[in-house]
Amino acid sequence: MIVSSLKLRNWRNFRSSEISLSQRTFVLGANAAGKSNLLDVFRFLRDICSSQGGGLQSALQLRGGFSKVRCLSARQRPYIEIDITLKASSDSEDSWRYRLSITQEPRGFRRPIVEREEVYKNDERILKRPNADDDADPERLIQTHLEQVNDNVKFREISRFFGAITYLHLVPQLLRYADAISGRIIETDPFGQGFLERVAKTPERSQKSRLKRIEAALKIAVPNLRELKFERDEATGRPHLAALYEHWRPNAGWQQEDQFSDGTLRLIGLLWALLEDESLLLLEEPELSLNSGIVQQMAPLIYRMQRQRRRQVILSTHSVDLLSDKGIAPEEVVLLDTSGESTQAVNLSDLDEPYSLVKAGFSVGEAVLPKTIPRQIELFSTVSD
Amino acid sequence: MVLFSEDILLEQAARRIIASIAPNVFVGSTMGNKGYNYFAKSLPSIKRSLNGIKFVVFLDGDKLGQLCPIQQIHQWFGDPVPPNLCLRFAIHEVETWLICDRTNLANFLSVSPNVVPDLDDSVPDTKEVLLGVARKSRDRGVRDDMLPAANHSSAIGPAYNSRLTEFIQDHWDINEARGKSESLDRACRALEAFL
Ligand SMILES: Nc1ncnc2c1ncn2[C@@H]1O[C@H](COP(=O)(O)OP(=O)(O)O)[C@@H](O)[C@H]1O
Ligand SMILES: [Mg+2]
Repeated sequence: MIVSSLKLRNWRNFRSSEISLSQRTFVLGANAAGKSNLLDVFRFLRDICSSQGGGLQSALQLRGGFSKVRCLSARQRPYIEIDITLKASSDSEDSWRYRLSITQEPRGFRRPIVEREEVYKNDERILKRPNADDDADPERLIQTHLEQVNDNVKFREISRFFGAITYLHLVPQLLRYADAISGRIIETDPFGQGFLERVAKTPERSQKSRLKRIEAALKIAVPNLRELKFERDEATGRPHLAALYEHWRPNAGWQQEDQFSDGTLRLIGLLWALLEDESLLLLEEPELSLNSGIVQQMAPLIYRMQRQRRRQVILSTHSVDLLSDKGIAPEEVVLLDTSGESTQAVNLSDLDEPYSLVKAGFSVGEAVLPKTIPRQIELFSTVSD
Repeated sequence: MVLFSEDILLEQAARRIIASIAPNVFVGSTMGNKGYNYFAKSLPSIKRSLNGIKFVVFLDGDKLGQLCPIQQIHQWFGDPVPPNLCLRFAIHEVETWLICDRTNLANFLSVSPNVVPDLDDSVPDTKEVLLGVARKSRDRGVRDDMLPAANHSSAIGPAYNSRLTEFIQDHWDINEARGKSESLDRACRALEAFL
């Protein structure tokens, strides 16, 4: 399944936005424009559906409560609404729509409650709340039906999908020094500490085939890299990755992951994640600590990995290099426009000028550069070349 | 030696050319790959570096306009051209150099050989020509990679560059192509003398 569109009301710094999403979506914005906030919508849905202690109340608590999540400049009635459409695949007509409005109890503890919850399957409404049961027992409104196994039978599919959403913000140091730090690994391992262990636990056949695919893609992106393999340290049994570089390099021969550059390591981690599962993958600024040559190859690399798994990827970025690939379509880019009083998320394909520029053969990076769109002047302020 | 290219495909082509005519030459660092504007911005730094460092520069010729290559080079770098500089234009763009190896390209893109046009440096917009060839591919993977998806309005597909990189690295016969593209033949000869 893929998320095909998203409508937000009063979600953090998005007072009102509506965007379409594709198999590969790039969320582009300056610092503090709301990139993480946008990705957080999907993490929020995941937290509601999480099989371990999920639910609406806990998902909001994790974020500091209802008032932290609701847009500060919200007008009218203070509710939060997420309206999301899913499709079986990017070219399929079968669709799901999930719509959730959250508000606060008017008095008493002012707990967050469901104001409205609806599910549509192929445009037919199969859930509408509040319903008679909710009227009889308003206490039910502190939970969504999405999180209730007894109530989500008819749309369990989307609950599972949300529950399996993965968020990745790989920190190479954590991955590299996992042993030394021996820190607690958060259940979903967003920072990649458990990466090598996960590779190790993968059945040998899929482990080999995934590494082969990654190796083939890396050969094009990382000049001089020739082979990639998994091995165990003979003495300690610890899992390792090793790469073979072309012979003329200093330190010729096989290198283990502790000698990889931070960038190569991050890259391998995220390519692996693309092959690991089928639900939505969220990548937070994957350009960090990668050199510009590799960042330029990131978009096609992601596409290549998607060919096998069709896993949808939504990534946030503020890198011009990442958007320099001319194969990125305006339809795949969501721009966070901070020129107004609250941030507006828009599809690049809905902006006349950048759209025409990309169609004419410029890269998205070139088309949204500050000189092209003056009001986006800050977009790339932190990126230098 | 520094290799400065306008984009990724030109860099890959340049690497192959250098490897084939001067196998022992080591490409120290590569720069550019950010389009023509980036080259224009880098001009002052390149000129300063030319005092001590050799630069091989590859650009697409579609930016030349009315000028001929050597006029343009004189405009940028003065006359005589600095001895540490070897700047070559692919006329009109690097795709011409690839299309000029008809047989291998046809195989690589899974089309019959007569689908790849028999052309030379006189034909402009050869990226369009190449996309047209890819559109006729029998291999769905080639079409998906090289052409924009149905509802997408980018000029090229999501793995256009990676596919052609693969072609350049593993299949492109430079000698075949330079028989038809004069700008490629001249680039090879100039590099032979330069390296
Ligand atoms: N409830 C809210 N209402 C309005 N703005 C918010 C809310 N919560 C966070 N923000 C603002 O969002 C911005 C941070 O967005 P973030 O997603 O972290 O940016 P990015 O990831 O693009 O750097 C901050 O300026 C913060 O003040
Ligand atoms: Mg952020």
